Amino acid sequence: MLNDAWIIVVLIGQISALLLLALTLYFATPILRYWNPASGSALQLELERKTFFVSSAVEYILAFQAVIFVLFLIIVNHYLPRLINGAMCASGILSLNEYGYPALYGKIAALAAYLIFIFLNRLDLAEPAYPLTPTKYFLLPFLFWAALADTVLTVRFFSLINPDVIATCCSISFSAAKISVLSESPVTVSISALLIAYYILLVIYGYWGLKKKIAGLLLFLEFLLLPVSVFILKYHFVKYIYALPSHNCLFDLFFGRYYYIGYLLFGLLFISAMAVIGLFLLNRLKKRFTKDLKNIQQNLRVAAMGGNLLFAIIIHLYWFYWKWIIL
Amino acid sequence: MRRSGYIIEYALSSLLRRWKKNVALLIIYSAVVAFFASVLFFTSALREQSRLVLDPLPELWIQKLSGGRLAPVANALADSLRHIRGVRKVEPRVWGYYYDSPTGAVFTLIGSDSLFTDLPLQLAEGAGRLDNNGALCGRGFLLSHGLIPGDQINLLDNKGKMHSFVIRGAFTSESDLLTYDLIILAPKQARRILDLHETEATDIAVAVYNPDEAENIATKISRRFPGIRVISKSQLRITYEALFGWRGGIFIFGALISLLAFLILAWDRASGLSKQDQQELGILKGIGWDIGDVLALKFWEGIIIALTATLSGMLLAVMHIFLFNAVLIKPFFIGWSILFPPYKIPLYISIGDLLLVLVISVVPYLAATLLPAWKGAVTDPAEVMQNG
Repeated sequence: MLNDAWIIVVLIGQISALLLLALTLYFATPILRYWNPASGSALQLELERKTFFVSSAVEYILAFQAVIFVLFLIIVNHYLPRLINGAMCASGILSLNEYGYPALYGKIAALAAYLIFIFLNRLDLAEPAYPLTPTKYFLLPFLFWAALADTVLTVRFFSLINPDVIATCCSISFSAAKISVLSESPVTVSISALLIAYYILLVIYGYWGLKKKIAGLLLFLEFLLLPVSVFILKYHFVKYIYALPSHNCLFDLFFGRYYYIGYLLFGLLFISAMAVIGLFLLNRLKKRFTKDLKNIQQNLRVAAMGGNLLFAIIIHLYWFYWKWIIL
Repeated sequence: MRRSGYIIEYALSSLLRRWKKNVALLIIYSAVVAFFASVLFFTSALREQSRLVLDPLPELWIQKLSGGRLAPVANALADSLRHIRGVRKVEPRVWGYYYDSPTGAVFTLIGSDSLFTDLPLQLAEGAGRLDNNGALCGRGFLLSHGLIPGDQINLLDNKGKMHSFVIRGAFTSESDLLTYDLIILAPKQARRILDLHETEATDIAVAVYNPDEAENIATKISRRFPGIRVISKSQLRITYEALFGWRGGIFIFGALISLLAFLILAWDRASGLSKQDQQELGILKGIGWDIGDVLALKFWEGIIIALTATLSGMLLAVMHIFLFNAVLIKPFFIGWSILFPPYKIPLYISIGDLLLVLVISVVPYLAATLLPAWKGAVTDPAEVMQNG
């Protein structure tokens, strides 16, 4: 399906970003090798100039990738289901071939990686001595390879889609919902156990978040909480959003008939995860900074806890609405 | 925040000061965007149109094949189809094409005795069932023959014999896409003109209770009855959608070179700083702007140019497609028949379309102008001032 207008445009955007990233890598390589803040040589001066290009370029790329990501979601969730027989949402489209889900996850991971780089970069530039240069530039080769992999996956995914093939959508995954709940998830637990785990995790998470200690533990908790949040959404709360007991496909959340609530819910989870990662990195690198970072830490903590809390409140409001007001 | 505010203000004033230099770039940029936006808006509008048109069709229709070619289907088949579970309604249809030698056009002839009350119809006199001497016509037929409702039309049957009908009503222009080339006669008369036997129909339309089951019923029917072809609405719809996407894709592929050429132009314009520009940058850096500030300035200049061009390009595209009916690209997108209706394209733009135009216009432009902007930003102020 590489000849479709929408897909060509997305690939043009993606390739522009990739080329810019390649150029950035080309600029960053001498910085990685020859950076020496003590020196006042012409080379060091030139390298300092190059850092400006690198930081602007990565910010551009993040903006490009964010727009492309939204377009990718629209394509797999709204556009292609109308073209492919049998697919009703992204679930059917992404499982058309083995590159679908990796392409989606690759894009999310790439967005996270750009955000981390930009976060470090902003911190670095705020200090006169550039304490994180050239450390942060070690991320760039990874960013480049991740972006290359993302582009290749996206091209493979779109090029292998054949409109003649009838897709099996989530009808398969939700017709046997009760049984597949446990077989799909990596750990075999019942929904009530999952819910209890969620509440316990949420409480511990809040406790540690407020204690303002050991960011590493908070990161660990976040990585437990994130999948559990997605699981309880998929297997418990989503049916209150759809008002359908048998349907637990998450991609319908991104449809207009559910007020695009999916963008908000997953956006909140993403913000929380990014804030916790930022907090962790900040704690790790704290010694390198001379400025007081309390303010940033506070904001990140609020974002991390607020995102998870808001997520919990929203899904419980849906549950409350159905359980206590309608039924 | 306040700093970027000042920088945006400066970027605007500096662009306005040098507006003559930017006008040419803006015009070309807008034209490029207008082209891509036209293609994208038009494919979307066509898709939407075809979706609306296909909506009232029956889920399945059945054609008889003999020797791989279409043949009239026996009415008796309709009775057998009624007994298949899930089938709501079975209707043998009588229709075909009529070659009109005076105009050289081909019209669609349908046999029906109901009055198509769901389509906007301008009736000549009191309506009921369509009688044996009556006909309903689309605007195409009336315009090409200079007729009005109440006049008489003459149609030839297969043996060269002429039959006369009175035009009882005409379809109005709102349904042009469906009815422009249409002639409707009573079934008996239509069979006579189309050379069909009383017990035969052109094809059979099948409506089902549950549209999701249409494919299964289609499979069942084609297994049970040999020598027929079952066509489903969803197949047709998907074919249309894919077709428009494919044609749009070909256009964009073909125009990629022009995008590249434009990007080279933009790159070139951004790198070739004039003496005046260099001096300006030198002064800015002399009074304390750092490389980051100059890059921010260049970024905002780029954004202002890109968004202006994108917006005016979109506006041009909307005017081209919806006001001027896509005069420049329409012939390449839709059919080749002689009497294709000159229909109005309904206004339809989705958020996805707007994002697509934004991606194809802003992303490559900003990517291409970043390096020249940086090169300008790192020029040494002292050097520039000395050379000036």
